[in-house]
Amino acid sequence: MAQFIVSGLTTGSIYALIALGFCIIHNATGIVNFTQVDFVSLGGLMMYTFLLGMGLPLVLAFAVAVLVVAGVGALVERFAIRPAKSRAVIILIFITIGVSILMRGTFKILWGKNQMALPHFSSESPLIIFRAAVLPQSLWILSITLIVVILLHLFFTRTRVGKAMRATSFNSRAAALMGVNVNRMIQFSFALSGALGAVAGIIIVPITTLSYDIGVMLGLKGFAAAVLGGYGNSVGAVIGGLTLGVLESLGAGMISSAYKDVIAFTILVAVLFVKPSGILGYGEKERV
Amino acid sequence: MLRVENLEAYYRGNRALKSVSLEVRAGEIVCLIGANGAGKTTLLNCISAVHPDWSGIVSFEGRDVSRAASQARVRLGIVQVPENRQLFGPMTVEENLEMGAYLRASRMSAADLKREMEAIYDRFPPLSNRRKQLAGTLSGGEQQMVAIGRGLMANPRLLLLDEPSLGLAPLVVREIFRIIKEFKQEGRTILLVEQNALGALAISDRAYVLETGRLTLCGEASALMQDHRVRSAFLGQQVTG
Repeated sequence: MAQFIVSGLTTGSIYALIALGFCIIHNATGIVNFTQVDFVSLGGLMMYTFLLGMGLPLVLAFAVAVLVVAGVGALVERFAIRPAKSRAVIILIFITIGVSILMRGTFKILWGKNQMALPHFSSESPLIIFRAAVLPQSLWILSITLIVVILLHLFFTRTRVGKAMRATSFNSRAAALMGVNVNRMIQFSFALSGALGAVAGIIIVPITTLSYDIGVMLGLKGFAAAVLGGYGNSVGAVIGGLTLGVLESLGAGMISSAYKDVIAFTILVAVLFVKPSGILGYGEKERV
Repeated sequence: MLRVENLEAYYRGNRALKSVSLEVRAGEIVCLIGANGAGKTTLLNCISAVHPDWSGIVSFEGRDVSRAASQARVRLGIVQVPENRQLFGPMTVEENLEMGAYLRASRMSAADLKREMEAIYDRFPPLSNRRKQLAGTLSGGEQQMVAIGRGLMANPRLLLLDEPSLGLAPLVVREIFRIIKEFKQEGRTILLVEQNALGALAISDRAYVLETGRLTLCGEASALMQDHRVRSAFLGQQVTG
């Protein structure tokens, strides 16, 4: 049981990071950004290139990979979202789906179709905690996620730009009237989501494998986690991610690991049917 | 101080403003009165550069700012307090005020920022013990105080006030108008948009009347208050409700 919970929290952390990425862009623009899944893949792929291809030290490779993906996020906003003639949410979502497929194709050309592997950050021999065998990488994942969530919270509540991003998400017209460059805030939100996706990809890949489309399944589950927590709610994103991870892990352990994905998406469908606003959602606004 | 020439604006494909020209001189309170849908808010949004579809010339202190983006205009001191407050509801009163100083905050010391914020609390005492309260949970009058305070934090040279009395109780309206008069005594320049024509004319130096996108009358506020067209169109309307 403890074993399942630990492994559930580990993957759940990844879902939480990805869900936060979905959430930040949703709050800035109202859209679902499907390139989020490719930010995850690209994080792992960049880590592979910087760490193994160029031989950078682990910490540096990690930092550079995250920055590169953040930059790619900013470029996606600048060249795919901002020039779009329509501001209609559905059109912008279609654009992100198109860009996502384009990105995946590019990754396939650049990194090939083969599976790759990244080393664990430290030892690979499991530690025994509460009668559960825990990989040190799991501890890395849990602690890095915790740090990221705390930093993100401080960013949004303590810094000038973080507050401006929140203000923009609440009322972009009013933010513009205060002199906030709304386009730049949207671009920041893409960069930030890129960074979050990259972190998720980089820390999970050592215990899975790496391929050009590794982020797709993880990303869709991150999306499910965001829906479960209440789409657009950042606290909900974290709770949803961890809950989904644990439920999935328990279900896989008690039923069959072959049904892991089925369990996750059954939860997604069930949430959408029964309580579409998710755990922390405020309920759909009444249409007048 | 502010000069608008031949401004035309489109709203959802329709021409919402037709060749509007107006002027606000330094130290004046100028009010813009007109019925709902006349284009008053659109005009302010063009002056603030947050309306997407417009043409014409806007100049500020002799400089043509027609092509300047909204943040550049705020930096010059053209600051709008928008209709319906438009606070950042899930943020605290303090954070809302901070957002007002968004462009200045990076060049100001924390102590100066704090001092200016205290000045806002002095001006609006009901806010001073609600600093950590979420702005969306305040009463209408308090929200309007936060909205005006947020505008003041931008250190405006020209304050554009859009319907500051809308939806407020008569007593609160009187207080808001008193504060606007105070601004004039402090030497601030104000362009005031109001449906409450009587209240607005009473505190203004000059006024413009906007009807379906066109300026139809302008003049001294005291003269307009006596004008039979204004009386029948706006003041009469208020008597009969």
